[in-house]
Amino acid sequence: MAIVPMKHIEIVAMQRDAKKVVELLQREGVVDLTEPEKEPDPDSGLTMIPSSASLAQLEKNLDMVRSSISAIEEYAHVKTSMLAGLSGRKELSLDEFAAKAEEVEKYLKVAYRIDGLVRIIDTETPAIMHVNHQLDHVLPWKDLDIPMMYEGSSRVACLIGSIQGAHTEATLSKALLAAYETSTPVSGDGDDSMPSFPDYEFEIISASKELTCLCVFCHRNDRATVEETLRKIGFTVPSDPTRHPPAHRIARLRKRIADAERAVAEAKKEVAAHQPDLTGLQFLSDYLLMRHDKYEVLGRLFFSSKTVVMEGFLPAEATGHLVSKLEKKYTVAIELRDPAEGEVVPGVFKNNILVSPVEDIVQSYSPPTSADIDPNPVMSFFYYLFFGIMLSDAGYGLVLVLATLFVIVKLKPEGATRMNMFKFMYCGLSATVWGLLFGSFFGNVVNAVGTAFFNSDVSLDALWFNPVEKPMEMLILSLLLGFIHLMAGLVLKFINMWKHGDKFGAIFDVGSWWVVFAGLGMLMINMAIPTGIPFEKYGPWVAIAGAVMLLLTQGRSSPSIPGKIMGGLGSLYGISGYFSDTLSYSRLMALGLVTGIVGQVFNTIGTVLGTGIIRILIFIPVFLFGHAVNLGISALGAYVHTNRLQYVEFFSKFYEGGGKAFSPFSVQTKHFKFKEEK
Amino acid sequence: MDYLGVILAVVGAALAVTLASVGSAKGVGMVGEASAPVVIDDPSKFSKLLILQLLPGTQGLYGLVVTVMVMLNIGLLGGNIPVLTFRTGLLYLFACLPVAIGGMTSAILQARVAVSGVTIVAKKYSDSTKAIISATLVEFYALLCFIASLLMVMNIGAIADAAAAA
Repeated sequence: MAIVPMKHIEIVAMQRDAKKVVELLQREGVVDLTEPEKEPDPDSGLTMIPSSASLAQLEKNLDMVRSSISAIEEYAHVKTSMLAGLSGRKELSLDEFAAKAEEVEKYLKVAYRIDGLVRIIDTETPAIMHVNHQLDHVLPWKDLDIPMMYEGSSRVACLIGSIQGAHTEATLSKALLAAYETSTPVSGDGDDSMPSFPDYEFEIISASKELTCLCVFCHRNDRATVEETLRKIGFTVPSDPTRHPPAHRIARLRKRIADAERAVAEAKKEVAAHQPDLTGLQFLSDYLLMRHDKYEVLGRLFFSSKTVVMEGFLPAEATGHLVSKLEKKYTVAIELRDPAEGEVVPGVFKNNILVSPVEDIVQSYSPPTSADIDPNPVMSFFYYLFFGIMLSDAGYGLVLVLATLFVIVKLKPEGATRMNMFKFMYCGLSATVWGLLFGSFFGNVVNAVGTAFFNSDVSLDALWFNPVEKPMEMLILSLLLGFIHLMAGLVLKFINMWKHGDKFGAIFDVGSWWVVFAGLGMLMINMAIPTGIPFEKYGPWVAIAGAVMLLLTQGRSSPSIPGKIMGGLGSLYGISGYFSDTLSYSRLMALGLVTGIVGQVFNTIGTVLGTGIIRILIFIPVFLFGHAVNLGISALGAYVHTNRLQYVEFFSKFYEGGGKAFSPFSVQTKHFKFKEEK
Repeated sequence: MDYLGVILAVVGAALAVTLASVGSAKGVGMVGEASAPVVIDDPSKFSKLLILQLLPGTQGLYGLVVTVMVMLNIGLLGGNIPVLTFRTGLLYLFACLPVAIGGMTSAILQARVAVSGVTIVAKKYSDSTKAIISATLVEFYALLCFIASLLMVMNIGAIADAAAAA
């Protein structure tokens, strides 16, 4: 129930054992190896052995194996359920590990083969598109039975080309003539010296809305005139004319497409046929990843001519096991010491299963330092409590509990996922309890269904009170719980200061505020519970006494007298901070009411339409959809606002953080985990 | 003129859910637009971005709750058009304004914080919780408006009854 005490460890091993020792550290996964800040001093005789070449090769192989896994999953249509991401890794014994490690070479070859196949698919698929594009260009010419390059015989010229838009023989002749007449200047004396348009013959090969392909014949002497006039109406020659009749090229391109498609289909089929190798490849990717991590660590160790040095931090409780294991197997010199003052020590919490699910919340705010007190035990209680009040529905709570239980039992998640499941299970339990206290079960579904279908006014009564009917009570409850939460923060601050020897600070920085709040409490107590004792008479004096304590002590760190006075006055202003912090807990009431009322709205929508069986048929989908949406949004709201209350209101009272997260060098595999020999 | 009171109350109820929802829709839309490019690069960040995107969505719900409370209190959900005095109707109308106006503006302002938060999720994923928390800081003011509207709406009924009795 605390921040785990850490030890600094320095291991000196023989160079020949370097890889083995690093492997052992990796499997044990308890040491957070320190990364050297600079290259070793050349005079010290220590050097670093760069591992970037091996790392690059491992990275390349790893990428290849991962891409072949996803290729198999894609082409063999391996179904991955949405929950798959939550489930834990398969466990392998050391023997199984050794057996699989034997086959690594084989699967590396498989991965190379699949990589080659994927490359075929990747190059041929765009090639098919490209050839199809070429085919589109030549297809309009398919009925032309001479090569597109044909230019005519000794007397006859042949012009082959296309014009934008759809044309018929009639419209073309007309357009040609019109173009000819506008371009040829009429001579001044009005005689008919204007040469008439030469004779020509043409054939429309194909005509579509976009393009008309045609073949024009004329006398070789008239070729220039005809071609020029044709150009005026937009005639263009094909950019890539065929040497043979177009049908020839069409056949060739079609064959090319068919071949490519067959190659792609075969490659996909072969990739899919590798499905039985999936497990082997997954193991290979884990294996390569482990080696990759190992070489990364090896690359930043300092070597002398005969030895290797590694240092880092580990939890004090893990030292015995690790040291004995290392000493039993290898020639090592190990030095353990407590962290020095000012050293950045990774912070890690250790708590029971009720508390540890919220450790992530603290870590993501800021990892602890040795100056901090573990906030988790106190925080977890309020975390579940507040989440429950904000969700405050027994139905939603039960859904959360059942869903998380299912994942924990069936999918056996690990690490952060497992902790999150436990966290939301406790949150769900809390929501169930609060839902019963406030009389909310899927909104007011008992009452709504009873009224709509059974004509009875049965309802689930609140065990305590219904916040929708008594919002003021709910508001007061929220603020009261909030105030207790803030006070719990101050208690932690008091304990922490006391433990770190600052007893004076604990009494005056924290104790003074308690005196102030006690005074304010005495002022109000008779309004809530008439005690008969005139507390309100003494209340102001107690509060003032606390204020005077603050005034006299809070400027003590300032060197000058005016500074001390200002510090004292400034601290009194902190009362407004406590006021606004307490008000902030009104969100407990607001979010709780939103959940309840939106749930009721869906129940109302579901039960007002239709009668009899139709009403039931409408009610079921509305109920399922509406409450799914409401549960989603309300749980999200409860989650972020619970976090906020911890981060902003609670932590600001005592938690400093600013430490370094504990990330031990360990086996970070994705598919398998390894049973450790005892 | 008998219906003037109830008309005012319904106008208030309509404003509460409409304005707050307009703000939420705009806000959720803004964050959605900003997150899409991040999801293209890294689909695994979708869940954190979804939380950011949904944050400005709650204001619409606050508006809806106030609307439903007004309808419950004046008896509109019973299927009949109730009779309210002009004064009570006006009270309801004004009671709805905090959640309507505060909800709308806070949703949009919150969305702007969330849009900046999208950058945090994209560039420094380990700090994405901080992006979410800073967006919830804005939400608090929507909550204040909601609580104010709600308490007013809940208590107007009692005031009106007392006035009628007097």
